[in-house]
This record gives sequence, structure tokens and C-alpha cells, in this order.
Amino acid sequence: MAHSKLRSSVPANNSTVAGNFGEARLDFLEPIEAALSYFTLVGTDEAKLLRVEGADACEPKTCKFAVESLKAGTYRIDYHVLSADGHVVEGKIHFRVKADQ
Amino acid sequence: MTLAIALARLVALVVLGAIGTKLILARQTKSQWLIVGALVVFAATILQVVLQAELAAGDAGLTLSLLSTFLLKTWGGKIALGRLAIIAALVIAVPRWHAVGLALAGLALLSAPWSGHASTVAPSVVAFTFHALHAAAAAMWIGGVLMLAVPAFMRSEDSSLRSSLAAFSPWAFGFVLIAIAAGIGTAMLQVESWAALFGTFYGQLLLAKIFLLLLPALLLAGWLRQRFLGGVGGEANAKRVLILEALFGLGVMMLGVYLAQTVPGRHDAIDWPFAFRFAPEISWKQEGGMQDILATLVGGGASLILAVILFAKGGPFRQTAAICCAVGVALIAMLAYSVSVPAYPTTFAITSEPYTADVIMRGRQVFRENCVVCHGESGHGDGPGAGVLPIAPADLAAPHTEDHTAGDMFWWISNGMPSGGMPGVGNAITDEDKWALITYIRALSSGYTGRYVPKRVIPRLPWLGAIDFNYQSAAGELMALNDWRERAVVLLVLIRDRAQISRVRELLTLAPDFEKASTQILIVSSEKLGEALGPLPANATVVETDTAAILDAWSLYRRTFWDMDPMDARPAVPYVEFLIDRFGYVRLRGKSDDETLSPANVLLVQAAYLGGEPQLRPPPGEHVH
Repeated sequence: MAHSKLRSSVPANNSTVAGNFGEARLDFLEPIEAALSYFTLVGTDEAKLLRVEGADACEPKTCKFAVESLKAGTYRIDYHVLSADGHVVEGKIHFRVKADQ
Repeated sequence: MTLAIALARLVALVVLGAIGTKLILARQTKSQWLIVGALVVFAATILQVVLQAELAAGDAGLTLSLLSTFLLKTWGGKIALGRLAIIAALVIAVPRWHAVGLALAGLALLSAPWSGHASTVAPSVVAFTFHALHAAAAAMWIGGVLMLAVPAFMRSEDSSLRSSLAAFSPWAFGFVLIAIAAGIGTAMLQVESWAALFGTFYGQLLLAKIFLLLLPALLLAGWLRQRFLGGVGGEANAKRVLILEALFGLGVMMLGVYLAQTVPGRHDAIDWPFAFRFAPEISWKQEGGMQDILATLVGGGASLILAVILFAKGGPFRQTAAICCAVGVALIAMLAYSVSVPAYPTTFAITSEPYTADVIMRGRQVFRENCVVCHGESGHGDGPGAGVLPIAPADLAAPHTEDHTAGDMFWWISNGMPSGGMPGVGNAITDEDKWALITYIRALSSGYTGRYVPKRVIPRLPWLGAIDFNYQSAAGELMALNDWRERAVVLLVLIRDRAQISRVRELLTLAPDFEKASTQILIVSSEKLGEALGPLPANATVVETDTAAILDAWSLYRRTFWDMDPMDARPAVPYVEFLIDRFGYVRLRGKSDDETLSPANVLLVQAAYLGGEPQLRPPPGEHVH
């Protein structure tokens, strides 16, 4: 858990959500450098579904990006952020999408 | 990579310090060495920038465009550009205009830490000041020592050592004082706790830097200042002492730049190295604890003070002083023993799982699968297997569970408690499930203290943290209860019985008034109510899907003094409402089955009060601890 920097996320780590949640949000503990941060949405079999540049998504402490409707399955958001003190922080947020009712 | 960046920083700092000190002392103006030094600093800074940009690039790889983005768009990059400009100016100025060169060197030194850990502390002005002064003063001191030591090392005879040291010494003394004072400031800002000081790599590096390297360097410097410059000791001896001091000083700088590359103590996971920790607040509460603490504290303190007084008197009193000192130390040791409690490597570990309904329910599942045999279905230590154990299993609902950290519980769950006969699960349960279990236990015991939650808000007394959860708003947006912090008071309605719908309708007719009181109405229902309620006002939301976890988790907060339900016979309250203030604290509870429901207009007054109450304490942590 060293240097996690991530305060909370929507979807939360290890949570199960409906496929149409629409927008992912990551809240960080401290300001990050949007210019050199990026996020990757990874689906089953490590398929890279979406890559978002921080410059398009981030304000000092929050990054948001739209996610199109997802089918049921296991997904992951990989984040690579540069914090203001020059450290690179990487992490993964795992979540599941449940089948439509 | 980190090592390379650290080395580049070290070279830049030390050479800059040497240049600065040389310019201050203005001993010999060998301009070509100054220019060479400035060029070295320039090269080191460029190297540092390129390496940092490469790290930041990640899987994209370093390209020219990425490097320019780093330099122009990031804080660290802009600072680096500024420093390169200053150092370039230094190369030009230093041979001709010493004063300008000195100012530029000082500026370059002071700006060095600006792109480091100081930039992540708030308020940053304070952090920048401490870090800048610390780095600059230390660099000037060590740079100066090296500048004197290197020629002394290389030349076999140097009779000017005494005079050059005499000129440098007052400056060095000033630099050391500034470096230490500012260093204490930076240490407090970046480590923040004793646990982090002893339990993180950063903290341990810091302790090594201070006690293994700085202390000897200062002792050697002290000898040079007091003895050698005072007339005692020969040049040859002084040369050796100076070189030793330079080596220790260089070691201090090396650990310093390495610290700048290491995760600060306040952000790192804490691996506690001792088998105990000091917790006077726990020992104070125990039987006889208060008397023990006061007796040893007063007795030990008095003995030590007496020892100092007698020692100062001198002569025959010194023997008595020694005895008093021994007694005082013994009493303080007893004090330390009486306030220490067992501790484990994980005692200060932070849970990875937030305080949410999903986590609490997962924790309850883990509890039911692993713990009920001894701890009982409801956690009171009354399980069927409890009889064979040497001591009774803990009543997890009792207040004393608060005396143990979440990390303590993590250790016992993983490794067991041999004295009590509790087995550990080792790796049979994942770390995340263990933290979920601990979160459930904390919620369980909070539910018991939650008996105190009143039916009318008690002003200025927030203490019970709300359980977070995700829900989908009417517009389909995924939201969390905690999103309302600092934005609105939340009237949380938890309803399992359709028959209670009249109360909900009553509250909704007052929705505009609740809106004026900055209050959101959040209705969580196990049944479909939507159509029966009609169109909803803007500040009301009804959640009807995936509500089981939310309702079950919040039912932990149902207990009142006249209905404690310790055996969990009635976990499903038909209707309960809570008022949560703007900072995440539960301030009011009303249930349909015990006449604690307020009349709607009274509820409105309570909500309006909370809407205006200022923040009294930090919001509850996102995690249990």
C-alpha cells in the first residue's frame, strides 16, 4: 500500500457495478500532473479497451473519463500518474460488471 | 534509475555548495575551477531532468515531445528549466562578478528541493521554506568542508589549514544550525508520526542519517572548532579529522538525496519493528493504571531533577546525585513498562478496504465462515467452541476492541493469539478479506456505541461515522453517499416495509423546505416504491436496486438502549431514518418501532441546524484503523 495516492475511485476497487455506469472517477490524495498521467481500461484477456491521457481528464486531484456501456465481465483500470513531487505512482482498480437484469 | 537520479542531485548540490562557500570566503579566485564546477552542476541537472522525464513517461518511452511536455507543462519540469537557466547564468557570471555568482548559486541551491517532497505538503510555503533552507545550508556546509578537505588530502603539507578553517568555521556553524532547525521541520512534515519514523524505510534512513552519520560529523567538527582552533592539536591530526568529517558529511548528503527519492514516511506502509508500543491512553484506563503512571512519572521526574541540582552543587553531593539519577532512570523505565502494550509488525498497517456497506457485508460473510465457532453468531464470545479455550474469546462488541488497532487485529487473524488459543488463518484468507473482516468488526462495535445516537441532534457533538455506499441516481450517474460531504446534509431513509410509505410521502411534501436547509433526501428501499411516490423533487432520490447490502450494513446502527438486540433477533427494522451532517457523521436516528421518529417539521429544524453547523473535527476516515 505504499504511496498509494488514490483516495477513492468510482467504481471502487473490487466492486461490482452495472455496465452503464458511464463515467469512471479517480480521486487522489494530492495534486497530480495531468500532462504525463494516463489511464488504461483493460477488459478480459488483457484487452486494452480505452486509453485516456491525463491532459484530457484531470483536474488537480480528480480524473474523470467517460466509459461506454460494458458487457458483463471482469475489468481493470490501470493508472499511471505523475505526482507533483516527481514520483510516478501506478496502480490497478479491479471491478466487475454484472449481467443486465 | 533512482540511484542515478540521486547521484546526479548529490553532485549538483555538493558542487554548488562548494562554489557558494568559496565565493563567500573569497580565498583564492581560481576562476577556472569555479567555471568547471558550474559546468558540472549544469550537466548533473540535465541528467537528472532527463532521467526523471524517462521515469514519468512510463510505457510510452521518452521522446523529444514528451521531454518538452515534461519541461513545459509539469511543475517539476518548470522548476528544472528555471534551475538550468540560473546555472547557465552562473557559468557566465562566476568568473567576473562574484557577488552575482554567489546570488545565483544560492538561488540554485534554494530552488533544488522545490520539485521534491515539499511540493506535496500543504501549506506548501512552509514546506518549501524548510526544505530549501535545509538543502541549501547543508550543501554550503558540506561543500565548504569538502573544499577544504580535498586540497588538505592531496597536499602533504598545508600550513594554511588553521587560517582557512578559522575563516570557514563561523559560517559553517551558522549553516549547521540552519540545516538542523530546517531539518527538524522537514522531518516533522514528511514523517508525521513516531510510528512512521521507526516503521518505514524513509524513517529508518532518516534515523541512520542523523545518528550514524550526522552525529559523528558534528562531533568531529566540534573538536576542530573547540580544540584545534583553540590552539590544541597539530596540523597533521587536524587534517585527518577534517577528512573524516568530510567523509561523514558526504555520507549525510548521500542519505539526504536518497531520502528525497524515497516514499515519504507519511505515505508509506508502516512495518513496526518492535514487540511493544507506548499507549498511555490505554494503560490509564486500566485498573490501577492511573496510579502507576502518576507515581512513576512524578517519582522519576523528581529524582532526575534532584540529581541535576545535586550534581550542579558539586563536591560531596555528586555521589547522592548519581544515586538519585539511578533511581530516576529506574522509575522512568517502570513508567515505560506500564504504558507499553504489545505490538506487531502490522499494528500500524492501513486497511486497503474502505468503510462501505459492500465491504462490511463481505466481512460479515468471512466472519460467519471462520469465526462464529468461538466468537459466537453475534460476536459476543459465546460460540459453541468457546468452552474448551483457556480464556474466553473476546466479546467483539465490547468497547475495549477500540484499544486495539486494525493492524493488531490483522496480526491476530493471520497469526492467531496463542495465549488465548485463537488459531491464525495464515494465507487461507486473502489480505483484502481480512481487512473486510476487520471493517465488519469495527462496524459491529460502532453499532454498540451507536446506542447513544439520539432522536434529536445534540449540537457540536459529532462522533459516529456514516457507512458509505454506492448508488445510481435518477439520471443514471454512479454516486457515493460520501459525495455529499461538504455539500449537503443527508436524510437517509431505510425502508423495508411498504406500509411505512406514508411517512416517506410526508417527508417528500416537505422536500422544498429540506432543500432550503441544504438537505438531500436519500431513500433506500428493499421494495419497489417508485410509482407509489410519484414524481420526485430534485433533492430526493429513491434507490430500489442492489439495496440488500446497504440495508443490512446500516442495520448495525439500529441498536438503542431500550432495544439493544444483542443476539440479533431483529436485524430488519421496518423503517429507520438517519440525519448525516455535512462532514459524514450520523447525528440523529429515528425508528418506526420505538417512537423515536420526530414529527416531520421537527426533523426539518434539526436538518436546518446541521446545515449551518461549522466543521468541528476532521471527517471520519475513509477506512477503519
